[in-house]
Amino acid sequence: MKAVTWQGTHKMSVSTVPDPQIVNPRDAIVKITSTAICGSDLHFYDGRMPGFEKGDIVGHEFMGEIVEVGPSVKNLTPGDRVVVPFPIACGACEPCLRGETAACDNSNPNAYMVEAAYGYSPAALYGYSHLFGGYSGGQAEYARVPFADFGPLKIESGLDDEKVLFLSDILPTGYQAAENCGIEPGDVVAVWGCGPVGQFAIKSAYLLGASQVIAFDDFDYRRELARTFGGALAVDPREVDVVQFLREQTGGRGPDACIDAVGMEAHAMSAMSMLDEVKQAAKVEQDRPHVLREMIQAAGKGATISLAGVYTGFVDAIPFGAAFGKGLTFKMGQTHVHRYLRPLLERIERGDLDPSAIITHRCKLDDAPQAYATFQKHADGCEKVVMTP
Amino acid sequence: MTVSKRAVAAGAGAVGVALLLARRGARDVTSDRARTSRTVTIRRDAAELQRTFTDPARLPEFFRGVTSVEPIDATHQRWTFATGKNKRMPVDMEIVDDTPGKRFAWRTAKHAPFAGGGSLTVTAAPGDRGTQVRLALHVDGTGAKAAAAFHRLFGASPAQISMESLRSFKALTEAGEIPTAARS
Repeated sequence: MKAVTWQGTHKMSVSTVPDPQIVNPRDAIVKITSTAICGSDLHFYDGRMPGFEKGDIVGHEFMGEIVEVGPSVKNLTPGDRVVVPFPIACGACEPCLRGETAACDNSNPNAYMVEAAYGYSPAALYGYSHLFGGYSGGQAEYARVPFADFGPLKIESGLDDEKVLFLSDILPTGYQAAENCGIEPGDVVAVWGCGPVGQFAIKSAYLLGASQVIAFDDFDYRRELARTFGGALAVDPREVDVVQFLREQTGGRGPDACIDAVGMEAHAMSAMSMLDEVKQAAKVEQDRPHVLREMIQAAGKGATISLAGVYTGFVDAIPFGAAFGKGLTFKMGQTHVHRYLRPLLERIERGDLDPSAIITHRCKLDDAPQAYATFQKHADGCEKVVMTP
Repeated sequence: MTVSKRAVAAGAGAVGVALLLARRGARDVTSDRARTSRTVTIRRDAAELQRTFTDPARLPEFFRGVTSVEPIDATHQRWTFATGKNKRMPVDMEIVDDTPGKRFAWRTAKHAPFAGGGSLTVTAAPGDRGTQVRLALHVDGTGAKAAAAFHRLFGASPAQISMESLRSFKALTEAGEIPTAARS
């Protein structure tokens, strides 16, 4: 089959590899009909994600048709259309039973690698480093899906792929970021980053009752989408003093919640941010936490800081005194996608939102190397790429 | 010059981490034996877990390096270990404790190629969280020498073997299978 493989920093290729097979009893094989490039795929594309090996099959946002199931899978049959959540979760361990599937105890065969750095391993992920299991991803013609009797969501309503594909990651990720804010009526929510997750965080914050969402992004096309799709007040952070601007917009109170939809690769024109770049290059700091610092500074008293953007390692100079002094609450983590699948599918079916509105680029798997480059360079107004085999 | 200072700082950081890890590992080696224990919590009943662990047909599925377990009599079993490519080493074990729902312990019988043993202890976790399962392993001998001999035989330390065996045991008993990223 054809699959998109990582060959090194800024080197993706489309390779011919053997088709996957059923290995464990709870497996299924999915024939992929649609797959997307995620912002977090840029972390390995840019060489910032450890644990990749040449030839690894990437991609964790995918859906398709079941073609084969293992003997323990009773809820799916060949021909079913499914969306596959990006964390691989067993459904039987303590975190899974609490609904925290991104913290599954039993899916990462390489848990010891992550334990050395994190203490405990989170769930395995598709196509996202050997640290997180080394499972082959979904930017391919077929994928092996472990624990298929627990993870995949059957799509029975005939909705197009493009309307439901993002249930695999970015829609639940944006939604969880907003849900983690514990939004109360009248709350003002500030969102850093208007990439796909930022867009869904904005939309979700309104769905959950925010009175206003203020969003920041350097790129015109992203701010425009944040206005038209999300209804946010979208601002170029290079043109304002973000902390002062938010203070003015909120009657001096500061936002009730701040969402980081940027993560470890933030850029900003400040001495501290430039120092982050240097330290990251020297590998003495893994992540560039500009957004996190700014959120802590901007947040109102007792506000919630919600992190959806990915962080992988150590960050420096976090203004913890400010966080402590204002009594902030921090919520973060990979998305427990499984628990949002059905409620968000119902919202899509009801017409509360149309996730396909953020797609700007469509192409074939064969065009993946070019699509990665376009997405990474923010060229051609590229907000979201969807690929078909 | 600045770059080299940074490199030195990075190197010093890495060495610090290595020292911490080495120090943590050192606690597994005492003066008379290499010994270790690891614990996980499994959402299954204690007695059921002990039954699975003590089933000779199941143990090789999760216990690192063990390829088969054959009962000899009521208190003895022959465990066969893989000690390298196509190399097998049978070791007779004596069951020294088998208290259902509490503890199972074994040690090498007389004339075994090495001296050591282990135990599985199961206790109820608080608040309906399942069962805390502790696997302890030890190799008798003189400190680091015994640990080195163990590593030569099994290609891993007692700590690695106990943690990875427990991890597989947990996945098998909770999720019904041991995870793998294999594609065929």
